[in-house]
Amino acid sequence: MKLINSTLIIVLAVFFALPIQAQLYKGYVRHATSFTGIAAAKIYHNDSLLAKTNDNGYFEFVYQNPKSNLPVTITSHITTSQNFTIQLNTENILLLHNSKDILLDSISVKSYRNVRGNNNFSYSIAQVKGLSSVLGEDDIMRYIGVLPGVSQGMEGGLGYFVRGAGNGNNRTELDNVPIYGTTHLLGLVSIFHPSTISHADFQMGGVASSSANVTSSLLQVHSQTPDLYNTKYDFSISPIMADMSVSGFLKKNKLGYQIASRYSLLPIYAGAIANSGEAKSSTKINVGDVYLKLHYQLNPKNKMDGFLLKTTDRFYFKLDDNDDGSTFENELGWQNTIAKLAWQNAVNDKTFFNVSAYTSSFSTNQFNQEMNQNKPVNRLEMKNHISDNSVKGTATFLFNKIKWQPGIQYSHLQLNPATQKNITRSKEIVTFDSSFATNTASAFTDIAFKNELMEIKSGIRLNYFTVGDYATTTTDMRLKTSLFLTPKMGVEATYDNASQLFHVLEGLPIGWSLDLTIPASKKFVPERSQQFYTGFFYGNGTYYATIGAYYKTLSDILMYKNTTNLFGVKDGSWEDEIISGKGASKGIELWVEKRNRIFTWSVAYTLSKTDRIFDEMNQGKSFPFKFDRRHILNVQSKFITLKTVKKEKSLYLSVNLSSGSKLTVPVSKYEGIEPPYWSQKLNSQHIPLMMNSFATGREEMSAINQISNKNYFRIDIGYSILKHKKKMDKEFSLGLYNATNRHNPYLQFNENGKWKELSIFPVVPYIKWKISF
Amino acid sequence: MTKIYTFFIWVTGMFLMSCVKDISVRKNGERKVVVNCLLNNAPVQYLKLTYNNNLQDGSILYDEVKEADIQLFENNDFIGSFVKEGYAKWKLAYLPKSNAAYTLKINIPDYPEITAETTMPPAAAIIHNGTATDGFTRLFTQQITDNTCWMFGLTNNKTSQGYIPEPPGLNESLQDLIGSNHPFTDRFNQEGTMADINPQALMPAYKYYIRLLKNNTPDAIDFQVQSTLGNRSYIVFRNASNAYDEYLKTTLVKMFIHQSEDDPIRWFDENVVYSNIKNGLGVFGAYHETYFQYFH
Repeated sequence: MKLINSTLIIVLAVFFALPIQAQLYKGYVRHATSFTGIAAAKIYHNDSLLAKTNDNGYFEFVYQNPKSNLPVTITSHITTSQNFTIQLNTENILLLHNSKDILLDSISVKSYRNVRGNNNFSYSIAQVKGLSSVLGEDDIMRYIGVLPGVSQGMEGGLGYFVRGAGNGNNRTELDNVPIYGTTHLLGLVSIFHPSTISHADFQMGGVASSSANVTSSLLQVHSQTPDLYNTKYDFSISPIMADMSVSGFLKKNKLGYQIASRYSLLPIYAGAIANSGEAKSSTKINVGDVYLKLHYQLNPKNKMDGFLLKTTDRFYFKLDDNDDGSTFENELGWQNTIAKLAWQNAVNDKTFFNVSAYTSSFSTNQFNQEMNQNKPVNRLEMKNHISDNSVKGTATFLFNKIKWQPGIQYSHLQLNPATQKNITRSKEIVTFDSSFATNTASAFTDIAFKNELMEIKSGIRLNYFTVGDYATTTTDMRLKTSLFLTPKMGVEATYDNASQLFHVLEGLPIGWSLDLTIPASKKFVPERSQQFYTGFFYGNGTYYATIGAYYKTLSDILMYKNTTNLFGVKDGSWEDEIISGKGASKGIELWVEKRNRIFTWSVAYTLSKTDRIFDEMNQGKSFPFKFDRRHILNVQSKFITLKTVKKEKSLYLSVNLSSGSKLTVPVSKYEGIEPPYWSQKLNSQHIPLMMNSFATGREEMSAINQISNKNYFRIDIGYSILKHKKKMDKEFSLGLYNATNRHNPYLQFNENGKWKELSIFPVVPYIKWKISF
Repeated sequence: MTKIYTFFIWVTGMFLMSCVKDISVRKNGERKVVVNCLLNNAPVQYLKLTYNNNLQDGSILYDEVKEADIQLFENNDFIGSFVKEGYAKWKLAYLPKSNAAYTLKINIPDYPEITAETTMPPAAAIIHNGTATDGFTRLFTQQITDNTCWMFGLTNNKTSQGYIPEPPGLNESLQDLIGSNHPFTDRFNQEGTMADINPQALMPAYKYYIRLLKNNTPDAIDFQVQSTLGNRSYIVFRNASNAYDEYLKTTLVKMFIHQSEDDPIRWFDENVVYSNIKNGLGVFGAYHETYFQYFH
């Protein structure tokens, strides 16, 4: 009897228990991009809170009226709300995207860090707000300039140098697609439309191995995922730029889109300027970009993304001369055309696959043309083209505290560094043409271990590279460790040993996009860098501080012999104009930051020394790097003067103080030997006075980069008013770039025995108005 | 070519609102001795010895070094001393030997010893192969050579000439453009095509000179030259020592940067003219000059 009763109880228990188990919903809420679990996310059904995720993003709950597909709404610190449908008895994987409405740490203008330290920074477009730029744009690339270890190039531009490396050693990606022309308007603003950007990750140590050709820093810009439930509009206008964005869905909860575009208003001013003079001239400026993204959520475990980006910069100038009927035309331009398609699959909560293919094409062109009676007399064209086509596959495996990400990639790059064409009296002559087809096959893996005491990340990347008859293999190794000594304090160390299979022949470092890219070859082997960093970090929730030191070496780097090539390719003979050498940099970096809801500030200071050695320069002796700034100090602050439900007013102040850039200047003049038969030119030849003076005399120059410009100092102030209306947000911002109107010297030169100084920007006001609905 | 960059700067200037202002005078460099000497295939060698000037000095005259002991060595053997011939000018009657190494030693009272070295190049290994079928393109062959060679055209302005052509001299004029299809040229001074001058000539044109690079290929190179030279004009080849080659190239680069007086690109000129004078400035180089009459 006891046996019967016991059996009955068990059977009844099982009978009643089964339906109870069948009501269980469980799964993970993860970040759509990083796949990391999102803690404390709230899961609602019909406004009833069902569960909250734990620290790993895991949730489970029992619902009284079970359905095979239960619609839920999830809110978290990275999004207002996103809707999902979860299934019974299945381990659901719910991927959340950052929402631009509530951005991480939006009250702060400073970065938060996934891991504290001075090597990885992650920041949102909202955090860029308040960083003054000449044009007043919220520019995702602008933030880099305020970080420790970063030296800026020409004032106002987006060229930057990280820990003593060149501008061409930095890599910029949009959704993991390399961007070769990163700027508009001669380097003053990046090509990244603010309304399309979710956030950016900037790495300068312990860099992920999934990206190739990074011997200095990696900037990964991540786009927003279109909203699958709402349609949103953004429009903003400033005196320089007008932009718009529309984001929404074509099929609710399935297919979303974002269309964004920007167009520069400069043609209006350019036309006025060109027509104001006596000479008959016309100017055409066409600067803008168009962006389209589609996001298709096939099911909770599969999604596809694709985007298309087209950017254009074109500056055209025409001068008519009535006296002899001649016309002079000149044009400069550059364009990006980028497309990507990616598929992400979450097999389960611990296994993910990502396959993508992209094409990134970039070209520059310049021409000048002389015409007479509307007939072309002379035309000179210069072109530079890069076409990068790549397929890439990565996997992500999560094992308890270990994250392993292996992958493979194949890239085919077609490069035409400089094509020079002359057309004289309708006869076309290609005077220079170089073309390279390169292939790179890579295998890489990143592995990370993390617990409460430490985090260790390491990566290795193997590349097999061919171009013509040249083939080589390179190995990149990365290591990043963080050890928490106390809950608030720890030490960090990184090691990077990396290669770059393409050389970027850098022009003036304002970030304009005319630099030539050439492949590694037998003569110019791949560039390599080694970097060591170690430092301390501290953070208590309000105050954060890091201090560390780095040492970096560069080998087989290239530079122009002739400084006038700094303006881009001067002629087709780039092979004759470049030399190979080495570099070294060492420095100490300090970062102190306060995060507060009302008053937020940060201070970044860098003490560094950077040298170069080229056998053919400076008699083979070491010389300072052009942007070897001994001291760099950046102070950023934001003060919220008013914050209510409907209104927010903020005041921004930033101070930039750094050592001046380096110069090579003449120090005396002396008698020279004329070129052969120079004084016996035909009398009909007009030789400009200065040119002739350099035929007979010479200038003794200082040692390379021996002279320092005066210190650079700039204060920027800004003010913004944000109003939350019932159906729209309005934001009005204005400010002053270089508020004290200090003429910071960029260049010193001697002209006819007189010393002169060139400064770039005086005080520049900016104003911007934006509406979102 | 420069016009492209003139426009570029114009655009840049429009956006950047740059400002140029006078600043106080920078400190001048120290006073140094300037040595200028190019050995060549002539029976007498000349040398100039001067001091440098301050940048603010408007004069194009340079103080001479009045007392000096200038010795020339050939493969470390003493050859002779230069003797003063005129203001800052010194001479030595000696014909250098091809491929010999020469050392210059200059001792000046109260000044560190000045030294410099160079190697005398052989004659350019170039053969004249006559005229192409078009009647104006000249044909040449360059043998394997370890020296860079400078090529240029001279117009003969003599009113009359004898049957035997005379070497180019003071009566000739340097041509503005010269064209060639030589595959190994330095294109730093390439400028358009010869069609500017002759509609039938389509070769790339070079301003004043063509720098022919060393021919390290296993074979001789056939190349053509186009010019506007008349019957009695010359194509001249200067085989240059490394020192003279570097000096001439860097000098011309500097000159071309300043060829447009309106172009701010000259402000960015940080180019250093080559010098191989230890404890001084200037150059000690060598060249071997040969010539062909264009329609000889």
